[in-house]
Amino acid sequence: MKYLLLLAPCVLTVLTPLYNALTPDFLGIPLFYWLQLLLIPVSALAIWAADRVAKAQP
Amino acid sequence: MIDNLNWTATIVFVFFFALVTVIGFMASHWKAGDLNQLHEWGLGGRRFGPWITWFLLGGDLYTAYTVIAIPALVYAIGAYGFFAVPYTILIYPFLYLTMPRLWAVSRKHGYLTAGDFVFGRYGDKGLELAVALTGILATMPYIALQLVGMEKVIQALGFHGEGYLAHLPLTIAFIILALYTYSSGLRAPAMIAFVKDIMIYIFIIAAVIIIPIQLGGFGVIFDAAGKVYEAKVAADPKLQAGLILTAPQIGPYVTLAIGSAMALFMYPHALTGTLAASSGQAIRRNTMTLPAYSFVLGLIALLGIMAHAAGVKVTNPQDAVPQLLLKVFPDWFAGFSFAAIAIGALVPAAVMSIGAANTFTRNVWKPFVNPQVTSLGESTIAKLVSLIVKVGALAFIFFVPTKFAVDLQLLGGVWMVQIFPAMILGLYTRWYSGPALLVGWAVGMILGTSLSWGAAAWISVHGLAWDIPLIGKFDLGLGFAAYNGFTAVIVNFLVATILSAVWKSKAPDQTQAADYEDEAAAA
Repeated sequence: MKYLLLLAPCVLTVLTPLYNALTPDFLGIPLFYWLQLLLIPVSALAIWAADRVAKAQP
Repeated sequence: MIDNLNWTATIVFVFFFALVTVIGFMASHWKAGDLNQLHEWGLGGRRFGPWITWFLLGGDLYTAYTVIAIPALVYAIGAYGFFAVPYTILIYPFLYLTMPRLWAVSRKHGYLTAGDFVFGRYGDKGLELAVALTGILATMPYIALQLVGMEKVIQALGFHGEGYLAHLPLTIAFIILALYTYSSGLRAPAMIAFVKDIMIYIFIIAAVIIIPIQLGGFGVIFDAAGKVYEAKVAADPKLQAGLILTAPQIGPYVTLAIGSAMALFMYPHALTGTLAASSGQAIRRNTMTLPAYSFVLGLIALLGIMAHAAGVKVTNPQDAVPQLLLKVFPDWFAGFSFAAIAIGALVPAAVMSIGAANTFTRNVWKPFVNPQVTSLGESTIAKLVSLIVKVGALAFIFFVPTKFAVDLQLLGGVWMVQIFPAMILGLYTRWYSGPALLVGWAVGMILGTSLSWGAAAWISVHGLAWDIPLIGKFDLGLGFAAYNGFTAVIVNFLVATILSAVWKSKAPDQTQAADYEDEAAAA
């Protein structure tokens, strides 16, 4: 489970063709830019979650 | 030389520079230790808790060159320059898993460098030397480029000199840096990183709030930039540029992000920052919090887009950010921002020179020149080497065209990826043998370098089709090009695996499986 959490944002990140587009935009920022920026806190959260899972395991 | 000097900006700039100079010299008394011991001078005594590590690694990884060069790439061709964001997303999960292990085994056995660990694990001096020399070679141009970043902002202040005098402020700054690094070691950049990182956060957050307000919102900004890229492509249809990636850019973008992520923590300065931590848990916490810097890096990249919207027209893209800041900020805040960038060169330059010095002392001098070197001897050599490395970087700036340093750094990245197999596989298994990894490394180095030898210039990507001498054309049939470091390390890994299956090594392994677990993992 820990590894899944760590891997998920990475997989999303390398699937570039999925987000290589201008729309849907956010406040005028094209998808390509805001999605990658958003993936940053998402991946930090995923690492935090993975750490919680790791600590909970004996 | 100073006729066109922007006095307000310069006074603010000099003030902050003086501030960090004082801090640099005072640092030797912080968390006091015997600076004649290499692990005290070169690793801060391994006493940096999570917050200090955060400031140090952040300041170390997000450099002046990054702040100048990434937006410069975005300014020049658009979306491709954003590769820095996926690259930093990929790093942290990987670091979470691997770096606490390296930290634990290094703490247990007193390793200070990649070369130390590799020798401890595989018992092969050739591999140790290869890892060390790769690190030193790749670091040198990187330090020189920090100076380039510093000079860009000094020029933007209005300082113009003829010939060698043009480099006067830089030389003064660097001599001061050399002096306090010599006396305080890693503690100096660690303390300075506090100031620098806070300054960078302030000016970037200000920029992404103020500039869109000034220009009428992000929609307007991206539209304006989009038009610039369209005009560029209309003028030169072969140019790959735009607000989003062109089809041929996708393969390179992804592989460049992956390859750069693999390389980053192989650099001596990244390992130095990591091994200075006080615990594996400090490192893990940092993998959750360092992404804040990645976000700022994404915003920094957007400065390249904003420059177009603000009407900044420069022939050298590296001037885009300094000119943008001069245009949109009042002089005193521009001076503050330039100081942040210039100080942003000092921290990594210091840590890089310390990392290179640690590496040379432990993995070149000690094994091959004087195995009986004492602790005091080690730290003396390291201090001297860090001075020499800085002088060398300065000489680069004086005598070598910037383009050469940029090309060398590009190659340095390709080379640095090649020690990834030895380092990372070694953290988990001893199945591989030292000599096999060494051959894999050599193949990767040669392949990566030859792939980068373009017709007219050094290039970082190459199509996945090759002309192999004596064998003929080999085409993987995949339509895209890939980052040379990535291609080379795949081949490196395959070679090492095949050879390890047949060539077992009886060399000693100093480590045991339990050494790689720190208390948090074992708990």
